[in-house]
Amino acid sequence: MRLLTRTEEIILLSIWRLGENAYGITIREEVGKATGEEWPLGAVYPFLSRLHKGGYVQTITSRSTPERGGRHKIMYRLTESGREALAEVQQVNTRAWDGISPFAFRKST
Amino acid sequence: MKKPASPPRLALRLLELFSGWEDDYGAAGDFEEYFRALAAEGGIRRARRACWRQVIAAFPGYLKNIIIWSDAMLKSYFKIAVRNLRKHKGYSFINIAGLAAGMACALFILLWVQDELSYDRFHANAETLYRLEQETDAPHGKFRHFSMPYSLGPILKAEIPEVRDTTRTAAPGSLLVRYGENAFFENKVLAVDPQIFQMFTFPLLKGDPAIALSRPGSLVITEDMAKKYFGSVDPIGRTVTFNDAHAFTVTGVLKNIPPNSTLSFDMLVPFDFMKILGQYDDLLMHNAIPTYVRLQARCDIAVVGGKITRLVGDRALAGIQADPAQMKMLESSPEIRRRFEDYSRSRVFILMPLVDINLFDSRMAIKNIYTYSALALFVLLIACINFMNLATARSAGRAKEIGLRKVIGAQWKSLVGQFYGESILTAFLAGTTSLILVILLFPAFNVLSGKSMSLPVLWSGKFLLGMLVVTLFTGIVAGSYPALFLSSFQPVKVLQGRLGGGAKSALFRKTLVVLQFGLSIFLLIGMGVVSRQVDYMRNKNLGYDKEQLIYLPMRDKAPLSYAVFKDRLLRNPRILGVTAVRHPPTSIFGSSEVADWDGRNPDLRFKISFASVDFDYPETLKIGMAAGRPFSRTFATDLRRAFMVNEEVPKLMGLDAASAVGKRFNFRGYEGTIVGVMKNFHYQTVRNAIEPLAVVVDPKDFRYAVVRLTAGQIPASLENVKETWRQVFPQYPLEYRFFDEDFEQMYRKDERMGTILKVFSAMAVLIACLGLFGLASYTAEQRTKEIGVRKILGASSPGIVLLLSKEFAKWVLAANLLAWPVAYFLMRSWLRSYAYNAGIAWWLFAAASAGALVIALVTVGYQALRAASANPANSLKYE
Repeated sequence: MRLLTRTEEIILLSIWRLGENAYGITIREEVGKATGEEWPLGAVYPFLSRLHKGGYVQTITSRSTPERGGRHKIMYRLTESGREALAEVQQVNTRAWDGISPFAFRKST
Repeated sequence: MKKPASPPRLALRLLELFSGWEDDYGAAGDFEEYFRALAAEGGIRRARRACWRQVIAAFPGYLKNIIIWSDAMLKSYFKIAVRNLRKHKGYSFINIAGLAAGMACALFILLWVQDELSYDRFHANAETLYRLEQETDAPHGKFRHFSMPYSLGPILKAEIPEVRDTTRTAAPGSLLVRYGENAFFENKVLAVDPQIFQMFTFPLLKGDPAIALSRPGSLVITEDMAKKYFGSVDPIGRTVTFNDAHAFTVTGVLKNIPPNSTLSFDMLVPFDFMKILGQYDDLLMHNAIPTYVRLQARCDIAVVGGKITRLVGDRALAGIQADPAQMKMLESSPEIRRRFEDYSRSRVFILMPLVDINLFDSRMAIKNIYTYSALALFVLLIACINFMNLATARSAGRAKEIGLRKVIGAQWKSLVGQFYGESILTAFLAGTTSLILVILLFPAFNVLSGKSMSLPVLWSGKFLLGMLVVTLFTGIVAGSYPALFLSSFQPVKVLQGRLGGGAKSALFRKTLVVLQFGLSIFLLIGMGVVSRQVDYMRNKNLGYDKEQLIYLPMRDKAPLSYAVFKDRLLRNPRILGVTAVRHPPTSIFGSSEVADWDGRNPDLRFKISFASVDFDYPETLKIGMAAGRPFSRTFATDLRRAFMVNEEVPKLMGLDAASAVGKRFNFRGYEGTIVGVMKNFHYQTVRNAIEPLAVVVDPKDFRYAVVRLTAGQIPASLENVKETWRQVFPQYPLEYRFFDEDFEQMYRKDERMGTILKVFSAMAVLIACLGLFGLASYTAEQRTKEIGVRKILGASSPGIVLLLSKEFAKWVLAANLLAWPVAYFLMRSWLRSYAYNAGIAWWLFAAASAGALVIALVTVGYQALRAASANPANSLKYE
């Protein structure tokens, strides 16, 4: 299995964190919190599309609400392979960072 | 309840495009929700702005994606496009040649527009510089001019805080400038305030701008003038004389004034020179000189204008009340008082932005910009139509390629991209060709436009950007129809050989041909009307004989010796007549609204032009008399106490010519009687209507000598005039002009318009014919089999030529219906600006249409003839 890219990883994590409430807007906000910079609104969708095609997320079409002007809402949830991919990334990360002090790359003051 | 606001649709669409949502990932709904949340929080406007920001933010990523992902596809498209161009060399040539010609037109116009817009932009402070103007009531509505009182500039600087600087620019008239042996008359000398160098960007090559004009007797000259008078000697510190009386020392040398400057001069002297010449007064009632101001940054010009209007209103009255002589005059009659009050009330001051002067002032460059841009756009459009026509015509040939691409999995979007790519590639090839054309034709363009641009203009960023825009515009407009039309073929039908929409696309092609020829016919008619008008003006009977007439300006003290000059000239049998006038005799301007005569209706408002002339005026110019007699020395009263008028004056008086003779007439301080009525003649450009004119003999006003030479002996008689001039006026250089030259100059603008129209309509017709040629050859090709069958069944060659030509002829005829009304109304409104016009002749319409038809038939006929004379056996042998 190929490793996720960094961005895909962050988006998948955001979807996991959001649980039942993951859709375009909330995902963008969550990603923004994690990376510390605001993303253009349109930027998350190509990634969602890719993740969807890769089978990492499933979509659930929920009913529309009035504040969406009658348009429907697509919710995202991790699939089993999504979870596995995250687990693998986590493992790789932990191993890669093993034994490195959190202060190792801070500027010494 | 109001419908809740939704985000701008266009923004949504663009975002969709940029973000590449191929499937539905709920983005549209999310976007809507995002928008509403923002709108609820910070108002709809803020939300809209935020939406657009999102669109913009998404764009760079989009571009990157296109480039990265479509690299391979682009290569394939490019290859196909090049192959296509090479395979159909004939069509490609027609396309590229047509587009190149159209684009060259557009580029020339672009250059011209760029030059017009660049006027006065080179000043560093251009944005805060203004020319003062005033508007007053006049008999024919508002009158706007830019003559200001001599003393106004400094007053404004002292009194109005928004005014940062002012400079007055007074022209002392023609001056005899002498440096040793070199003596010339200079017309472009300006007396200005020293702040001119702080306000305007006129860089000094030598000298210090801060002090160059601060002392009386200092003189700043341009590079050209320095060369003219001093050659290679350093001019700084050298002294020249003006009119052999005033000494000026050169303190600075200016870089030459660029041609796109409103303010233009050869020499600058301190403003005090006007006072020395005695051409100065303090009266705020008196308008005399142009004045420029520089405002503080960010001022409301309407407010400042209002302040100036009030200030001048108050001060002008105070100035008159302080002066007993003026006050006495004002009190002398209620009519003068009333006129004074009317005038003061109606006087409004306006600040005209310097950078707008060229566009909106008398030259009205903006009008020409619109006209010529429209013309260029027409020609470009005709070229684009060619491209569209040929592309749709050939669509059948390409349908299989498209069908196959679709079957393999090409998407609609990428096909559109492919066709746009092809047309843009063609446009770029055409663009390169047109650039070469522009470079080759550049000198001709300079002559035609009357500009002096140099080739480096072509490499300026603005022009290249403009060229890119023109190219992309052409590519996109020309490619749009093929792209949208061809890409919508259904592969199943295409590959089966059933091509839908044939009739529809044929109709579309016809419409385009009609449009093309409509535009061409319109341009042909326009060309006809303009050149007829020019001919008309040129051949119009002026009311006098302008051939063999010259005039010589007499400057400085020369008029004092005029009598001697005239006397000596007339001793020569080759000189047929000599007279003198106060104004340049081909353009007598200067009129008054005050005159009095027996039985004048006090409510009548009028304007009468005025000129002082010498005896022999009508005789020398050969102006006919309608009644009465010309001035004559035998009557002592003819000096200053007699008038000759033109036929308009009796009309104004409500009399016929004969009964006006002998009537008392007071005008311009002269009191006398009308002794003669001259037949109407054009004393101004033929553009203007002949207005009332009254002339009087007053030797103190003679400024121009008018001399009639003998026909057939012009060089010899001219030599006589020169010799006599040298004898009588040894100290003054001789200048002279033929009346003819002046008239040629008056027509130059119209002639230029005529020539430009000729070029454009030739281009339009040529390009349209190229397209028609391509279309006809295509049609002939398509119908080869039909023609073969017809011939076998017994059709004659002429019959087939007729069959093919008829179709095209029909379209060209239909084009007339489009072109005639448009041409009629536009040309009528153009002709309205001429008091005397040749009108619109019906045969012009017929000629333009017939011309277009003949050209079209010749173009089509060649192809038709070829198709008709082919051996049917060849075309049918594969069936």
